[in-house]
Amino acid sequence: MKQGVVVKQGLRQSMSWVHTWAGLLVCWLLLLVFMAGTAAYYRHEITFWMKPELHQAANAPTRIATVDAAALAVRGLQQRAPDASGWLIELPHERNPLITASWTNPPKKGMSREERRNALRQQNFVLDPMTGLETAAPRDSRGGEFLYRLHFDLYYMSALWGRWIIGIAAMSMLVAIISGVITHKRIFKDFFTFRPKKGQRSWLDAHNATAVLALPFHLMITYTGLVTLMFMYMPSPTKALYGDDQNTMFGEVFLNADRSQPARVAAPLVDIRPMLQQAERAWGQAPTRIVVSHPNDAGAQVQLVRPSGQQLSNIEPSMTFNGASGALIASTDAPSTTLAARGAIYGLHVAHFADPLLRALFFICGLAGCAMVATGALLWGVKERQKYAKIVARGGKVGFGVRLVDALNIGAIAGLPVAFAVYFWSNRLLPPDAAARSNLEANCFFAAWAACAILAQIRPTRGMWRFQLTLGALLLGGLPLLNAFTTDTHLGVTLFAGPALRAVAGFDLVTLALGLLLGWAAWWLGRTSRKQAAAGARSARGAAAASSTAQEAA
Amino acid sequence: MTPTTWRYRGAVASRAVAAIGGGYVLTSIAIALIALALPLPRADAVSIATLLSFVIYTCAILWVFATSSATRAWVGIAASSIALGAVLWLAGRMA
Amino acid sequence: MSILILSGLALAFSGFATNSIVMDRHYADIHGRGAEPGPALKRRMRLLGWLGLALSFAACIGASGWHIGPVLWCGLLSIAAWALTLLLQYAPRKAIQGAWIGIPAALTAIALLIGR
Repeated sequence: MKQGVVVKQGLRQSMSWVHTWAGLLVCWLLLLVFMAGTAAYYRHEITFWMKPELHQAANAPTRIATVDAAALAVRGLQQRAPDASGWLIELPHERNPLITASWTNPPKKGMSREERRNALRQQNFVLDPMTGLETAAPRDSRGGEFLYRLHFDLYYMSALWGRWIIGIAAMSMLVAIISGVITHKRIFKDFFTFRPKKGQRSWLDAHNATAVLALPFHLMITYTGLVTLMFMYMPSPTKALYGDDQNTMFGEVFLNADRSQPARVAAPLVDIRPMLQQAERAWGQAPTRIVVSHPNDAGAQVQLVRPSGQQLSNIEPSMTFNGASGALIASTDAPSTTLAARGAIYGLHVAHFADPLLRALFFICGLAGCAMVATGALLWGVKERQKYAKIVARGGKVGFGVRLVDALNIGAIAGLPVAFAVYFWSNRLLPPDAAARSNLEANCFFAAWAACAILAQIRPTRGMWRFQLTLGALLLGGLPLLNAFTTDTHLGVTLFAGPALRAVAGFDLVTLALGLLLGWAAWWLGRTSRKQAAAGARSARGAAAASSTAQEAA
Repeated sequence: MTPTTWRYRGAVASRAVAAIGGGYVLTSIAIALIALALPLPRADAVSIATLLSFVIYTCAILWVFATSSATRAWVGIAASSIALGAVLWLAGRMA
Repeated sequence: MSILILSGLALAFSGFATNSIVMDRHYADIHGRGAEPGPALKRRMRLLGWLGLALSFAACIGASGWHIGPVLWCGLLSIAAWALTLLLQYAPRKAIQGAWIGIPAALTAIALLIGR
């Protein structure tokens, strides 16, 4: 950094400095975001794995017609919540074979956030897609939704705080990516370069390979992540064009936003079957979601939604009907190019359009993102440690910064996988009828992470690395086995069952693979330290032999 | 060899404030201006302007750290903010 | 559909591999230290390499359309590049031989694209 005096600092050097600090200051939080976000690509499948009570129902060989399923769901909702402010019905589609119905009530004054959350979690039921009957209530678990929300809302704090913190981290990441590209002098020459066993050079190669070879993904995911909350982070254009009327802005930009108002006059909800049939005729496919606003009110609206198909945009085509009369009010017009582009940018982040292959590719690139952040943090530690090489050789200690980074690295890189694994273990081991069960599962996640982080701060050593990596390997890799002991839908069954249970098999196989990866890392660390110890012992023996030879010669 | 004098640290801190804080102010003014200037329906203009914000913010941050001195960084951020801010204020008056 | 995508993946790998042959570091890995590729070879290999990548792009568009195709292509490029990077380190000759897969892949892709 120039001080206004002599040394001219080139662009590459200043960008290198920016890259280091923009990356280092947020890397551990980013690891959480990347790991949880990558898992979120399979949040439906994770939720399904975590509710084994639903597995049998989902594996139904036949299904009742969508129209009938919807009517049954509505009947169930009318019985339970005729005065709710909103109903949501999810109809069977590729990634979710069940029929789920839920309702929301307007928040009562004086209810704490916790009470509201608990109320919401009770307000749903599931229908068996084969019989249309209600299934037994599955264990209370947020499943994959917990991980999905974690990666932008964080936890133990209001969503607003979480989103601001993560927004700052994401902006820092964007700066780190761009500065990283600018500073990478040999980005083309070193494109396919990976040289193992060369210490710092190898860590740099690993960082470059995971970063550059998926650069489109990393750039996209970071920028689009910021875009998902862009109106909150950058409100000035909204202020300039809409003043304080944010609701109108949301209505005009997010075309499917609910703009209905309750009339406060009772009017029974009409049969929704004709609406579904009309939509199916118009679209050539059945709707996958029904959103009812203000049911049994004269101002009720029924919105039918279907996936957007071969489009990037997450704006889903919808048809909206008057709930009291059944008349069609609106269907989504083709949005303007700009709004479609905004939808596409948002859509790229959530990847609703991704078929199984593309989703797997997103997942792999997400893992590469985790590796990119991890290798970057480790690289910094290795580089800084070299400055203390002489001091350490004399028996001294490394500086405070290096020790802190080492400990944070262990806690995040090795500790987070342990936390994820414990979350899944808690799902199987906690009694299904425990009170506030989903909160308990979340607390287990954070308790495990805290334990790993604290242990790492106490002893940021290679031994702690191996311990936590091995623990992660055993817990993650052991999930298929745990599954076999605690449910009927283990790998022996799910690999040969219908498409619905393939998700469960996929979960088991992926956690097994990740466990093996962590196990390999732990083994590799042990091998390198054994080599170093052997080299040390050899040189000690050599010195002893030399001195004894010298003594004999004397 | 990065010096670790207080002067150096002060320069770094100064740039950080200019980049993060000043950059945000500059970006906010610039995108509000873009939103007003675009001859498009409101929904389109607000979308484009807000989409551009992170690009502009990133460029501002990188420029602050790339430019040759902290003083230059502050002058650049402040001058452009004031200039664009004046245009924005005039546009508000004229609307 | 999946055959077209597989061809796209093979073409991406082949395109990258062909390009890597004439990169200084990887050329030297095969032919010995200090060896450098001649300018004619460089031109030819680069042209073929980029052709492979372009065909890979076409295969992805053919498989998934103009909106999702490019996204798929980026994903396949990353997989191919990582595979090539590891191969170039641990089995450089196999990596170069692997480039030949581009020819059957190209023929398959062109046949499938014309056929639709």
